[in-house]
Amino acid sequence: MGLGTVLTRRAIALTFALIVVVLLTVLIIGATGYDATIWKAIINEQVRAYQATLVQKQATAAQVQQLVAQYRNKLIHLYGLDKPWYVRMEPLLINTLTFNLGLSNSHDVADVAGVPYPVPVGTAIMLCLPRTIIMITIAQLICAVVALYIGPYIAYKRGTLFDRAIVSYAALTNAIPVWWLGMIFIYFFGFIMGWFPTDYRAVVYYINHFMDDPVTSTQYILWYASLPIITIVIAFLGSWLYSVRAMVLRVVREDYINAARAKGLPESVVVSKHVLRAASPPVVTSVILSLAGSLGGYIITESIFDWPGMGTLYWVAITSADVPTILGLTYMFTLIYILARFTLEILYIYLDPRVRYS
Amino acid sequence: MVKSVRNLSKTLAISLLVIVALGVLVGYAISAPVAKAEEKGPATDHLIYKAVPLDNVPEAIGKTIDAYIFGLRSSQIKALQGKSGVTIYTAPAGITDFLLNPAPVYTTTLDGVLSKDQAAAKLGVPAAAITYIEVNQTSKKTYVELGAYPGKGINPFAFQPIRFAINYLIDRNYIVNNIYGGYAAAMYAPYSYYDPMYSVVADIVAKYKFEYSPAQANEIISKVLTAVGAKNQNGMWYYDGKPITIKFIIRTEDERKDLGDMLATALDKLGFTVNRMYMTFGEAITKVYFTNPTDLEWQIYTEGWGKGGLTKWDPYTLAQFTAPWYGWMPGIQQPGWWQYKNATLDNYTKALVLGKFKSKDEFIDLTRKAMEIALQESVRVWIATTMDGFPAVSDLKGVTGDLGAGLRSIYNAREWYIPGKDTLTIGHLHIWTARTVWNIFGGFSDVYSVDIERQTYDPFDWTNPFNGEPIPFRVTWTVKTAGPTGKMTVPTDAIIWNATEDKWVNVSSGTKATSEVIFDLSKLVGTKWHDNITITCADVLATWAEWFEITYDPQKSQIEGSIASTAKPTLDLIKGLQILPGHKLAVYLDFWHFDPNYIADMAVMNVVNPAGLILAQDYLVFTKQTYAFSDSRSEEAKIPQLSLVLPDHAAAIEDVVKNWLSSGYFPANVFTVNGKLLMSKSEWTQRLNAIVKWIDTYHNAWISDGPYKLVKFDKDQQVAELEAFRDPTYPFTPGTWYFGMPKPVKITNVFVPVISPGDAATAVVSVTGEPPIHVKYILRDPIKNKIIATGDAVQSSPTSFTIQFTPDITSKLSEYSAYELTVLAFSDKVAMPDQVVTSLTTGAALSKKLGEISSSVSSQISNVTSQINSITSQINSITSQIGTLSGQLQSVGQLATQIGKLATAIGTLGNTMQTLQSTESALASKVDSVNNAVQNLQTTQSTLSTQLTTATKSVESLSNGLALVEGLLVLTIILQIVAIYLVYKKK
Repeated sequence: MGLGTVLTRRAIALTFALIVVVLLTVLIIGATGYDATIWKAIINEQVRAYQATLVQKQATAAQVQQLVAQYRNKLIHLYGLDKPWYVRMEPLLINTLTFNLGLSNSHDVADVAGVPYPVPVGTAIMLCLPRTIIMITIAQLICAVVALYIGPYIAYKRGTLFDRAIVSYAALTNAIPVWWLGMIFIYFFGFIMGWFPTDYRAVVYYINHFMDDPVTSTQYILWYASLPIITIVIAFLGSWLYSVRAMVLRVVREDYINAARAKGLPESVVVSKHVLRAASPPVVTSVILSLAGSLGGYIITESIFDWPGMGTLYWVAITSADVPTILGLTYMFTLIYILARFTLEILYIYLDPRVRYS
Repeated sequence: MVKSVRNLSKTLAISLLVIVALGVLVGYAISAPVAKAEEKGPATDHLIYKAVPLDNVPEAIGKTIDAYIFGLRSSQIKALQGKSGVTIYTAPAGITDFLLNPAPVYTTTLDGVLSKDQAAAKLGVPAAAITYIEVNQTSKKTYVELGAYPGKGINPFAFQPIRFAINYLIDRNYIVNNIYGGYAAAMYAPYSYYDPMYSVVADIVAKYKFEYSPAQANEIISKVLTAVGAKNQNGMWYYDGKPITIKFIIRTEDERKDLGDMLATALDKLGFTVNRMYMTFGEAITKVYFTNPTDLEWQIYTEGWGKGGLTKWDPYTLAQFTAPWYGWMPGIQQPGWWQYKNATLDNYTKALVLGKFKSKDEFIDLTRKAMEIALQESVRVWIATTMDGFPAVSDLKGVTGDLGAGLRSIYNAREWYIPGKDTLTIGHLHIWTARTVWNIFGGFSDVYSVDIERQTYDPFDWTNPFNGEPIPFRVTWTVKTAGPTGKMTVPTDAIIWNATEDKWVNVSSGTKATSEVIFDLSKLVGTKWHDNITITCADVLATWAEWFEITYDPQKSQIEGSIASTAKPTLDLIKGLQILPGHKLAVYLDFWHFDPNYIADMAVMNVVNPAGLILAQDYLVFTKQTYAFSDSRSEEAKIPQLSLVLPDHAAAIEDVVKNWLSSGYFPANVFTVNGKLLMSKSEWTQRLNAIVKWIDTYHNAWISDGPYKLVKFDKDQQVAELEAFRDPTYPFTPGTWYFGMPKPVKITNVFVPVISPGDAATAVVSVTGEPPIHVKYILRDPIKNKIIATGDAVQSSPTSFTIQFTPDITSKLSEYSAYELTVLAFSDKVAMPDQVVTSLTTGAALSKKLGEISSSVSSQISNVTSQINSITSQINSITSQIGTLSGQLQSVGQLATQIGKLATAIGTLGNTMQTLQSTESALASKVDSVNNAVQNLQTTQSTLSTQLTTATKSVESLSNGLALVEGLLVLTIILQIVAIYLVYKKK
C-alpha cells in the first residue's frame, strides 16, 4: 500500500469522523430537547416583559390576553419551536457541513464577538480566534519552545538540583489554577506595582483596528497581552517541562541507547540520532495537539482578563443554546484537530524510523 | 536699627500679602468646581464612563475610577468594607421568595350539586383534603380539587394553612444579618420596606408578625396533615403509607442556595422527606415555569427577582406577584394547565391595575384587601429585599441617596463633583453589549445605555428619589380633570396625527377627554440642542408624530409590531394636542388618577432628539428597512437594531441626511399645524447641516438636550466620554437636582402609661422626619396571638402623636397583663417607615383598685384605732394609779396642784385622743367619699394619700404624746417618791 493510498484512507476516515462529530452534536442538542428548553425559557422571559409593559401602558385585560398570545406564537414560530427538532436542525446541519455557518441567534454571542446583533457565526469566530491566538496560543508556543530546549537537558541531567527544582516547580504550578494566578498577578503587578494594565477589554479595539495603525496597535496589543501570556507561561511551563522530560527519559532508558553507547558512538551522536529522533514523535504530537487545543481558549482565564476569546464564545454559545454557533465551533475545532492529526500522520513518517509505508 | 525694623516690617507685610494672595488663588483653584454653580450645566466638566470587571472594583475604586455604578452584591461589598476613602451607598436591588406549588394531587368532576362535605363523602376522604370546589349549576356538576388523595399522594402546599405556616419557618433576621451580611432587609409582603406602597399595608404586615417560630409552624402543619389523614410516625410524616416528600428546587448561583438549605433543613426537622434539587437558572425555570403545576415536578422554588424603581402608587407589584390573572402565578395562564385560582384577588388587583378605582381611599382600600388575601394565601413566601452596593470615593460630593436607583439615579452624576477635579471617571460593568441600543423607540433596554443616557438628556418628568411620585423635571404642568366619571370637551383647534394621511388634523367636533394637562415648555423651547440648534415646538410635534406613525400607520405598525402594540394602549388615551401661546402644550387624554401628577405623567411624551434625527431614523427603519428599532424586529428580519452611538449607524444617518440635503427633501407635513408651518425650509436645512457636522465631529448621532453631550463612544474600548453642556440657554445650574440623603421617619420615643382595663388611656409617640408624617398602631395579645385593636394616632404637635385607647378598647384587656403595642410611623415624603414594638401593661381594674385602697386604708385605720385603744387603756390604768396616789398625797397642797396640772395634761391627752378619734372618723369618711368618687380616681388617690399622710402624722404625734405622758408618769412617780420621802422625813 503506497503512501498516497494510506494518507487518502486516513483523510477519508478523518473526514468521516468530522461528519460524525457534527451529526452527534446535532443529536445531542436537538434530540435531547436542550435547545428547545432554553429557547422556551427565553421566550417566556420575553413574553413576561412584554406583558408587564402592556399592563403598565394601560392595556385592557382582553388586549393583554390577545396580544400576549400573539406575541408568544410569533416567538415560537420565529425560533422554530413549532417544528420537530429534526426539521429545525436539518438545514443547520447541511449548512454547517457546507461551510455556510449562517447567522448567530444569540445576542450573547454578538456580545463576545463585540459587534451588534445579528453576527454571522464565521465573523464571530474570526473575531475571537485572533484574541485567543494572541493570548493563549502564543503562551503555549513559548512554553513549547522553552520545554523543547530545557526538557531534554534536564532528562539527561536527571537527579541534579536543577532537575529536582524543575520537577518541584512543575508540581507546584500544576496545583495552582491559572485563573487564580491571573487574579493575583493583576492585583500585584497591575494595581499595586502599576507595571501592567488592570483593564484588558480595550485590547479588542487594537485587534479589531489593527490595520488602521499596525505599529501602534502592535505596541498596545503587546502591552495588553504581556501579563496574560506571562501568567499562562508560568502556570503551564512546569507541565510542559515535566512531560518533555518524561518523554525523553523514557527513550534515554531504552536498551538501544545503551547499545549505541556500548558501540562507542559519541554522546552527541547518541543524543541527536538516537535519543531526539526517537523522542520527537510523542513530543511533536504533544506540541501540535496542544497548540491546536489552545485555539479553544480558556473560559475562566479569559473571564479574569476580560479577554473575550474562543473559550468564552463556546461557553456563551452553549448556555444560550445558539445552535449555529455551537455547530460552527464544533465543526471548526474538529476540523483543526483532524488537520493536526493528519499533519502528525505525515510527520511521523519522517520522525519515527519505525513508521514506514511501502 | 529702626530702619532695619521698618524694612523687616515691610518685608513681613509684603510676605503676608503674597501669602494671602496665594491663599486666595489656591482657594479659588481648589473650589473651582464648586464655583461652577454660577455656570449652567452639570457640576463637573467631564465624565468618563469605563468598563471595569467586578473582580477589579475593590482595587480600582479610588485609583482608576471615582465611583462604580453597577450594583455590587453583598459578597462583593464585603471586599470594600472598611476601605479608607471609600463610601458605599446602598439601594434595594432584588427580592427573594419561596414560590410554593399550590397544585392539587387529584382533580375530578362529580355528578350533582354537592357541598364540600358531600363531595368528600362521595370521594371517601376527609373534607379537609378538598382544597377547591366549584359547582356548575347549569350542568349540575361539581368540580373538586384535592390536596391529598389515596393513591395519588399529597401535596402539603395545596393547603393554604401549610403555605401560610412556612412564614414561621424562615428566620429572616438570621438571613439578613448572616447570609446577606446586613445588605438586605427582611421582607414579608410583595412590597418591601423601601417601597412607598409599604406604608399603605405596613400595619397589615405587622399584624401577622411573621417571626421565626418553628413550633408555631409545626402546630399549624400538624393540625392540617392530621386532618387530611396523614400520620406522624417516629417524627416522620406519612400519607397513604408513604413518606411525605417535598421536591425543593434550590438555585445554586447565589445566596439562594443557603436560603433553600435553611428551609429544607427546617422541613426535615418537621418530619418531611425533602428532596433537594440543586439547579442553575436554565434547568430550574424549565421545571418551575414550563411544566404543568399538577405534574408536581417541583413544590418549592427559591425565586429571585430584580427590583424596579420607586413608584409611589404602585398596584403592579401586588398584582404580578399575587394575582392569577396577571400570569405570574403557578399555571402562568398557560392554556391546558392547572391554574392557581383566587377570584377575589383577581377582582381587587384588576380594579387597581386597570384604573377602575374612583378615589384614593378606594385605591388604598382595594390594595389593603388584596394584600390581606395575598398574605393569607402565601403562594409566594417573601424572604428579603437584597441591597446593591455602589462604592464611590469619599471625596465625591453631590450624591443623592435615591432609594430606587442608588448611584445610577438620574439625579446623581449630573450633580457629582470632587473639589479640585474637573473630570470624574465612573466605572460600570460594561459600556456596550450587544443589547446596548441607543434609540428612543426600541432601545434603552439595558442599564449600560440607560445610565449614560440619563446624563445626556432631560426628561419632562421623573420620580422623586425618596417617594417615587412623578415630579416635573424639564417642564412644569397644570392638570384639570373631569374624572373619574366626568368628561370635558376637547377644543376643536386641538390636533391629532392622522397616520394614514401623514399629517396633523383637527380633532373631530365633540371629542371628549377625561383630563387636560397643560405643559409649560418654557425651559425647553428656546434652549439649545447639543448641536447648537434651537429647540422649537416643531421638535415636540415631530416626536409625537413619529410615535403616532409607528403605532397607527398600517405598514409601520406591522414592521415594528412589538413597539406599536405596547404603545397603542397609551396613545389610544390621547384625544388631542393643542399648542398654546407662551410655549405651552395642552394634552387631552382619557385618564384619571387621584394624584394629578400621575395624570401628567401619563400625558408626557419626552422630547429627546431633534426633529431631523427622529425623521432620519424613521427613514432607515421603515423606508430603507436596513435597521430595526426593536430587538424583536431585529431578530425577525436579521438586521441590526439602530444605535445612534455606533459609528457605522451614525454614518447611515449621515447618509440619509446628506441625501435629503442634496435632494431638497423637506417634510412640511410634520411641521404644519392648523395651516401654520412651524419650521421653515431654511431652518430645516440648517438643522440637517448641524447633524452632519455633529456626526463628522463626534462619530455618533446622539444629539440631545441634557447637561452633558456625548463626545466619544467606543464599544471596543468600552469607554464613553461626556462633556459638560454649558450653553447659556440651558435652564439648570449645578445643585438644581441635588436631593442629598433621605431622612426617613424615626420613632424616638413611645410613652405608654400603665392602663386600667375599662378606662380611657393615652400613649404618646415622638417622631422625627419629613412631614407629613402618619402614625399607626397595632395592639396585640401576644399569648393568644390576637389583634385587639389597630388604628391611627392623632398628631398633637409636629413631632408628637397621641394614641387614644378608648374604654371600649381597654375593656378588652385583662388586669395585670402585658400586651404588645406596635407603632408604625411613615412619611409621605420618604419611603422607609419606622416601627417600634413596645409593651403595654395593665394594672387592676378601677373599682377593684379602689376597693383595695379602701380596705388598705381601713386596715391601717383599724391598726391605729387599736393602738389608740391600747394606749387609752394604759392611760386609764395610769390615771387610776395616779388617783390612788392622789388620795395619798391629798395633804400635800403643792403636790396636789402639780397633780392637778398632771390631770390637766392627762385631760389634754384625752382631747388629743378625741382628736385622733375624730381624725380617724374623718379619714373613714374620706375613704367613703373616695369609694363614691369613682370618676375622679387620681384626685381621690391623691386625697387618700394626703389623708394617710395626715393619719401617719397623727399617729406620730400620738406617739410623741405618749412619750410625753410616759415622761410625766416617771416624773410623777419620782415626785411621789420625793413627797413620800419628805412626808416620812417630816414625820
